[in-house]
Amino acid sequence: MKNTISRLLAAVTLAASLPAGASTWVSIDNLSAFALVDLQATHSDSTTGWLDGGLNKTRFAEDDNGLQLGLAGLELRYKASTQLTLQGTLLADNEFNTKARLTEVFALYRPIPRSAWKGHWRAGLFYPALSLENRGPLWTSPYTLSTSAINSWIGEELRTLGLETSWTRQGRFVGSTLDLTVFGSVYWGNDPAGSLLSWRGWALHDLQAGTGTKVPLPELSLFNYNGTFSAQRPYSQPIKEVDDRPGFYTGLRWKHRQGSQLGYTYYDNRADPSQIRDGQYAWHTRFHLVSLEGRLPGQLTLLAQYLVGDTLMANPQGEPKVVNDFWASYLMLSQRWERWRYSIRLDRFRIKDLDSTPDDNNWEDGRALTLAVNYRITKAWKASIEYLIVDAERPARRQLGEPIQQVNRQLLVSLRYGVSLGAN
Amino acid sequence: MYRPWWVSGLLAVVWPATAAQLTLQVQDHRGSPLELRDTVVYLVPETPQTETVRKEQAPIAIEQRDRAFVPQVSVTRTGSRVQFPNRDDFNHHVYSFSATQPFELPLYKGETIPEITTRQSGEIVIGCNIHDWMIGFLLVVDTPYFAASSTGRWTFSDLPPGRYGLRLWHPRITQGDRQSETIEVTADGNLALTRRLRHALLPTSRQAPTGSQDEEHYF
Repeated sequence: MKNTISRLLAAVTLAASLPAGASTWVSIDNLSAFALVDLQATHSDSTTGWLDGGLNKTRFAEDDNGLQLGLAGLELRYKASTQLTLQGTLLADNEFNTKARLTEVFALYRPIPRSAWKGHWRAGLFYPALSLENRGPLWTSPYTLSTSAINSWIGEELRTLGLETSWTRQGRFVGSTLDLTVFGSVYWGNDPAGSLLSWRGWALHDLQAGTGTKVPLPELSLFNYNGTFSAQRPYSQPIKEVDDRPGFYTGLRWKHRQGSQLGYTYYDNRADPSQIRDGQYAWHTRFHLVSLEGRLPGQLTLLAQYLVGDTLMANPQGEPKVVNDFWASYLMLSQRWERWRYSIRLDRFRIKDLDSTPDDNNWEDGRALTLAVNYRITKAWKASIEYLIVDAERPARRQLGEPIQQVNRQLLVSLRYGVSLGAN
Repeated sequence: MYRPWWVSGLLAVVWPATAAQLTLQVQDHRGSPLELRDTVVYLVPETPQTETVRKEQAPIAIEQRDRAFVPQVSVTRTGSRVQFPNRDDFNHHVYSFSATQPFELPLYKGETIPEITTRQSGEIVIGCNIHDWMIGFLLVVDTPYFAASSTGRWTFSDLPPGRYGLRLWHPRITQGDRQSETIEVTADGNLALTRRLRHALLPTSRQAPTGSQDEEHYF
């Protein structure tokens, strides 16, 4: 995996520097950056956090109460030429094995349009453009601290390691108020995507996996030396390539001039579920995602996403071992008022376990309520407070000696400093 | 007095106007004065004219200011210079894919003022490859008789006698309302015309990022 990434990065860097030329390459004028530090005070009532082998639904547990580093990160952008930008994001926090990790590094090519259709190409490691919430720098959300179940999952298990192209028919050039976008991608990696969702379930947080990240799995007996999935390491490596088979996603989006939009994406990692490599199974994961954004009068924004899909993991003979249907949705209303932003979000999520593998019940049914208030102190400083309550049933909790049904409450107070440097 | 556009056109052809000065008033489809910023009226001579000394057109400027083209709508003559000064302290990448005159002005900022020279008549829609919401419109006309107005009222003086195609243009005016009519100008008297659009105006091309693009900077 590391080899794949470094080879890809080398190729991208080389490709980018060729047309740019050596003189442009060193020009600091074309370099811009965004730096962000987020300190959080947390109070949670979860007994064991999922980052410590538990099955709770929030980022923090009782042990974490107090001051925490929410996030520190740097996004670098380099305009290599008029049409080519190189971008990379380095994130750090106190979670995972890799305290600092690259979450994105890619080349963006935006050729000059020859018609009302304007296109771009991206190559490298990057987020598929699926989230309506994570539209801030470093893939943060301007609305809440913890993102919805859907986008938390995208942040931890989905990453495009490949090529994406997107074409927008710009309505303004043809007398229309709507922009139509069609996009598609072919990517490697993402084969273990589905393992965390199946074994740990949905969660609501702001963590982002990156290069080399090992996301811990719950301490269930099926990963023991004599367990059903003893070949699985106690962690998931979401970006890893397992079967050398590329996956794809494709979709379309209508966006109104005022910002309202409706989008649909189909995602299929085309993994061969009978493969396993370095203790990571390949999971054949597919889903449909419908996204709706409404720009309502008076700076009120409505965001809603609905994701429905399935995942399949098999033994080397190809017999299905884990078969799950899953869906999740959220509805959020966010109101901006001068320096304030108030957001309320309702999440629903579910996993339906369709296999009969013993000791591996992935069934889950839950809901969450998120209330968040942000206050912009200055251009660079922002304070937020968020209350998150997740009520979920998950029979697998019994294996950890915990009640099946749990309510996790988490209060976060955050102070963020963000500064943008260099060219616009 | 309201007359449908085509009736006016017909009357104009049948009863030649006799004037060296033309005053035109245009109303929107509801009958109010067309107060549309920089609406262009131009007259294309249909009878041969000898323009003894070609009126040189001064260069016009389309600025990039606060991530917008200012003015958003411009008009100039063929063979004229159009400058694109960047008043922002960051780069723009101006382009047009219009068949009239496709062009591309690479990233620049500061002192250098790139320009184009218009080659043929037609509409040139201008965009910025960096700021997708920026949009500007340039109309190139092959006649010295053109004027932009924001009040719905235009005056042309010292028009040589002859037949002219009278045309109205603005990106928000429908194709149906842009079609021309023929008027006849004679050496004496004034000609005052009033016209009314048949169709509602097209939606505004607002040069501002949509809400979500705006929030990208709101971490």
